[in-house]
Amino acid sequence: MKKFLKEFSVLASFFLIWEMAVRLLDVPTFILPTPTEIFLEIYENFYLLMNHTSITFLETFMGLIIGAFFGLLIALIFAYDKRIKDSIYPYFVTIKTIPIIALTPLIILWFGHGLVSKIVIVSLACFFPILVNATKGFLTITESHRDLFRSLQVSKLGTFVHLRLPSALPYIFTGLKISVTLAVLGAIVGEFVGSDKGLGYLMVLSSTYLETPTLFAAIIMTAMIGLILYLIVNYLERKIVFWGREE
Amino acid sequence: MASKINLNKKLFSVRDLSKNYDGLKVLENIHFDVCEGEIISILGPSGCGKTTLLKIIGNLLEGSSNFKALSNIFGFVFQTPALLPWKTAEQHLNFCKKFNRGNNFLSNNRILDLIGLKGFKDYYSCQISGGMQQRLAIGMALSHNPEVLLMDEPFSSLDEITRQKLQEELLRIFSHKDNTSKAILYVTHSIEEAVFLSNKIIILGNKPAKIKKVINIEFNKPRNNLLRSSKEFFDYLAQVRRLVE
Repeated sequence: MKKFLKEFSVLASFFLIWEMAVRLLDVPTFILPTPTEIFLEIYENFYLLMNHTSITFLETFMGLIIGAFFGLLIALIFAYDKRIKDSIYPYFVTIKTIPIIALTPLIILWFGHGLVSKIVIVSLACFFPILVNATKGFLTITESHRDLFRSLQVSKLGTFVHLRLPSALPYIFTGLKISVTLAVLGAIVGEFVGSDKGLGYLMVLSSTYLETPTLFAAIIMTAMIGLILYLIVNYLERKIVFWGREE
Repeated sequence: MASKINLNKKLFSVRDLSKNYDGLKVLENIHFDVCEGEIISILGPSGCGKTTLLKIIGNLLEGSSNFKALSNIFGFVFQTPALLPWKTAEQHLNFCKKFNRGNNFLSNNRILDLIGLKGFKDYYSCQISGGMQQRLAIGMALSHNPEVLLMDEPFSSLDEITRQKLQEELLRIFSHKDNTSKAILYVTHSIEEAVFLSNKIIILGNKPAKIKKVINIEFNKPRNNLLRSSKEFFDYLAQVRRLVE
């Protein structure tokens, strides 16, 4: 509670200084609105804002799930077949170096202006961190563990359930946490390039018309999406990987 | 302890065991018998192939020898305890029993009692100390009634005080009526540990490792902390030290 009060007082004083500085220096609203103007904007256009937020949230969430699914699937194949891993992994690494922004126009061209193209962009952005971390997780098994399981003659399935999957979980969660940030980024970038709804679209629109309070409101909502998803992943990690990462 | 040793009953023999790694000879003509009640230490410098030898005997590695391990009769204890931090002490034991076809397993409570972890049944292995983790690893190795325990420097990563305590504990466990294992093969690079624990020390030479000397250890005193500072103990230490050099 004390920690919370400390953090809250920092935030409150930040807003207070902001508010006073803008009023005293007479900064125009289209350059920097006051916090009260921003919160008023959120309050007055709450329905509209939530509409855009829910679209972006849906894209982010779906993309994250789909990207994570395929990342895990390929990581599993890599973990069990070294030949496939050695022949395909270099290409994935190459594709990974292309910034997602560079691919966005192409994906919009292929999948249109709707939700699907954004979900594709987000899944692509989430796919690689999950793939890289999960592959590492599935393959990091200590020699003692391998010897133990061999001496007990544990089946392949048993080894997966009792050893590989649990030891990969901390790595998978690391990948998920990286992906959450990239997912929001991917959704917003996708909406920048081509869409008629979502927070990214709202940002482009409000900056064109110099409606800076709306722009700020959209930024805050974007941050909220990222924060909520991160907290969910963090909560799940603490519940599922209760033993922490073994060093 | 001494009454249990019946050196006449042979459990198994290792004959002409050799091993090459890419043409490099690691083990050469290893030759010895394991009898009931024996604790045999395999002593040698780091990297001489002791662990390889143990793994070939336990069927974890292939060796160029006629020696065929009978699976299921071995219980392994590794240098770093191979525990699963997401399982409790009891779940570890259940896990070991589950993957071993067999019956008449000792109950979990008796095993935990034997290894001195009574009351830690529901603790996750990440919550207990290093010494207790290695106790649990011994419990896991014993849980499926192995005939022989294969131990690979199990206490080398522990501090001295814990290590000495566990060495005595190992002797106590081995002579306990609930223990079903009949012999221990113990790999170590510590001369003191080898002298304290074993009835027989096999000293391995380096590159390729072959048996340099086998010595029998017999004490008139019980093997406890007092023994460590006795003259006969020091005599054995000196003798082994000369042979290792």
